[in-house]
Amino acid sequence: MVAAPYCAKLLADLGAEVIKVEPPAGDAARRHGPFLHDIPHPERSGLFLYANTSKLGVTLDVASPRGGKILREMLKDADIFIEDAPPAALERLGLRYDDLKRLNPRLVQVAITPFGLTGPYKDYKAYPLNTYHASGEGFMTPTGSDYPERAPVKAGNFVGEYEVGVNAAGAALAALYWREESGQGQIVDISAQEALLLLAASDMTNYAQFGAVTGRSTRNWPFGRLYRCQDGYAAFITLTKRHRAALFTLLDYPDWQKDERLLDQTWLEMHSPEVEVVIERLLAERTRAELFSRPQANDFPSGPSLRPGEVMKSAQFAARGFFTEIEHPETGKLKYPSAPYQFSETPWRVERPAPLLGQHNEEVYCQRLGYTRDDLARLRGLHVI
Amino acid sequence: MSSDATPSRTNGDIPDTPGLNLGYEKVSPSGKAVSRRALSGVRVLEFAVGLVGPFCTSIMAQLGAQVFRIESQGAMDGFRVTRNPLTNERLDFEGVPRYNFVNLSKWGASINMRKAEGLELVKRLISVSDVLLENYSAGVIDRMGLSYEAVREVRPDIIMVSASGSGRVGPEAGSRAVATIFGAVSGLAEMTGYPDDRPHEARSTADAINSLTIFYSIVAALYYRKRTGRGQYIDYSSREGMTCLLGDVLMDYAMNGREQTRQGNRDSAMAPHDCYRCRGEGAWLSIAAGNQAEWEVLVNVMGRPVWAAEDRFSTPLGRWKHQDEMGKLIGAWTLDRDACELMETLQRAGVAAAPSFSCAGVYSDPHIGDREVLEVVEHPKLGANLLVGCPWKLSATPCRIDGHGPLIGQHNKEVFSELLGIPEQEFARLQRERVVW
Repeated sequence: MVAAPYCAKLLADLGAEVIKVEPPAGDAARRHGPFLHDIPHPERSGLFLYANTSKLGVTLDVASPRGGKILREMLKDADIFIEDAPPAALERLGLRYDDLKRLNPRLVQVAITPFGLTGPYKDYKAYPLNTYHASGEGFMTPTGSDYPERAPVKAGNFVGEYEVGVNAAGAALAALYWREESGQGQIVDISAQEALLLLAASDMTNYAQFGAVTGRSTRNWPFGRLYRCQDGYAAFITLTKRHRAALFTLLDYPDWQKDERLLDQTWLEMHSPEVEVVIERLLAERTRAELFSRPQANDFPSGPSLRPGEVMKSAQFAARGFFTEIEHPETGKLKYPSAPYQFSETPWRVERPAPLLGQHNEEVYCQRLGYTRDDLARLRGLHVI
Repeated sequence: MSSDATPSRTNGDIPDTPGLNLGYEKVSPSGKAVSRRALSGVRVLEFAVGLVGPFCTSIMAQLGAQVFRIESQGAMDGFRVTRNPLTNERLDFEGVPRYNFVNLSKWGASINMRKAEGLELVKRLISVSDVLLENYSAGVIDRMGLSYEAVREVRPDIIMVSASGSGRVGPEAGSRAVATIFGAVSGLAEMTGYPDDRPHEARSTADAINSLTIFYSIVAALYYRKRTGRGQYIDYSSREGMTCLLGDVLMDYAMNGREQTRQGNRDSAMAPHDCYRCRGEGAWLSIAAGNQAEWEVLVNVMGRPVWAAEDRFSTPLGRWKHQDEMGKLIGAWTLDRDACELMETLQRAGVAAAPSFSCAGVYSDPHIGDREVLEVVEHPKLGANLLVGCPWKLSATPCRIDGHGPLIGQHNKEVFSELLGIPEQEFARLQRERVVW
């Protein structure tokens, strides 16, 4: 619903021609909000629209014999096949790599599953909640929690799923790169649990070395984090004496101005609770803009915690042209996030909005695979497309 | 190291002396002969500190790229300065577990770039490299004399990546940014955590998200270069890398003006959908039921408790509305049960469940063990450790850790004498004059 489509979207962003194959009932993301004006509609799901920009879209029941045959016709000259079928379904559908490599030895198959194609959990059921927690990253979230009795949480919304898609895109491109040299395809087995484990792995090195388990309350640094201001939250970190001096000047707290001890990291770490209490009190009286929206004025790393609307209105994002307007027949023009990279030679651009359900059936099946319009009508009648 | 993290496999074939041949992929930094991998033949030069850049290139190295990490005793990576988490003592800068992890499989060369001759050495390395990655604050690399224009003069088809907090243009370009900051200004912090508490501070997580995004950007540029012969410059913004993972949240704002915020483990429709306390300290099990059928199965596994038959829990909407009360009841049932055993029971019945694993849980998870995600890495100061290797399973070109994160200047001889062909006396002079330092 998110990880595999997002992986394919990232490749479409880079200029690949991506054909999205949906069951005739449509991708489940079409039934998932947010919807335009909060009215459920399969062509107006923000989740679907975002994860499927720049793709062509066809409908196909790949489990039917005819559908399976048509899919193989498409795979015959595809470069990459991205799928998120459970391992058992992959076998049932005859879509294991061993089946497909005879059809197209140059094919790169990207299999995205919760726990991978092998191992004792391979057939386990999992929602994004479960894979996030199985990875070890959830256990350490939220960082710096003062409430050890509260449950660990996953990252917001579909952050984990998108990140799995990012992993899969990287692995797919590496396999594609190698194919340019070797002429050979391969299968890339991406486990969501393991992809998300990469987010937590550097925090596990203290366990490997010292047996120290990092938890929610021990993952933070001793001084500097997110603080409540009058109108929301803001973050700052001080890495040097100069940073700390700048912070204390900003806070304008007379008791501290001349206290040299406060500039010393070791002293601060030892006395962080009492220092934090004062900082929290001082910050709570001021707005984020007053304190932190002058990034160059503050010598130390700092910034406001932005809400979605603030992100979309941010001058920094605007200067980079990060949000881009895309026109879609069912929603009109909307602003979408683009890409975090700016390539000098091959700039990002959107090819087309997310496809309507079955929008490119005729283009793909008739113009490329040679089916007639009558064939399409028959296939539609049989619910194959 | 605790007993359940004891190495189960060893790399017995690491020779005492590093290999001498710097030809692509013939030897690894540890001197081991290696086989062909997906990024074999790609040479990467790295000027990076912390996690974002180094972790990206470590993954590249595990996929077969030859990565040269340039450091200097005069300008050490801040990641080398840290404390023992148990005793709070300062660690030896050559024995830092996290530093080692994000620099696995690389070659280490030390160059003092403040000296003109140092910069010349760097340019000679650039002339034989395919990728240059730097993650200083925006603009710093230009002032060091290594702008893309300068780099391209030395190597016209290079792929150069500048990864900074907010990118190279705009009012906040050049501002000091560490993970906590770009996590906050990306919008991601606001979306993660408990609804009634402060936003989640994304530190190493924020960094790693960007490492992997930069990874695919670089490989895409490599693929383009292989087909066209053309390099390019990539201006990467870490905050944008994280904002991209909030696509649906931002679409909700664009479509409906809604300001979503953090919801703990809550889903917009599914309930139950949370972590429930289990037996033992810090033990939690995540359980989610996506439809009526899965709910019925869960109720059966719980032994059909009376409360589960109440009207308010009979429909998905009812369960979603009353999820806090329902959560307490489910939590009372899980409390004296073992998380791993309960996962097995629920999964056998067809309910999605997985423990919220701690580090210890991941390291002892039989599935992670079976998939061989952890590899033993020997380090001269840290000894042998099980570390997380690149977990992508590429059937024809498996990833592998070749060696520990390099000590400062560990591979100077290989890099300067063998790769650049600097004569012995000249090399000695460069060391004496602290150009190679």
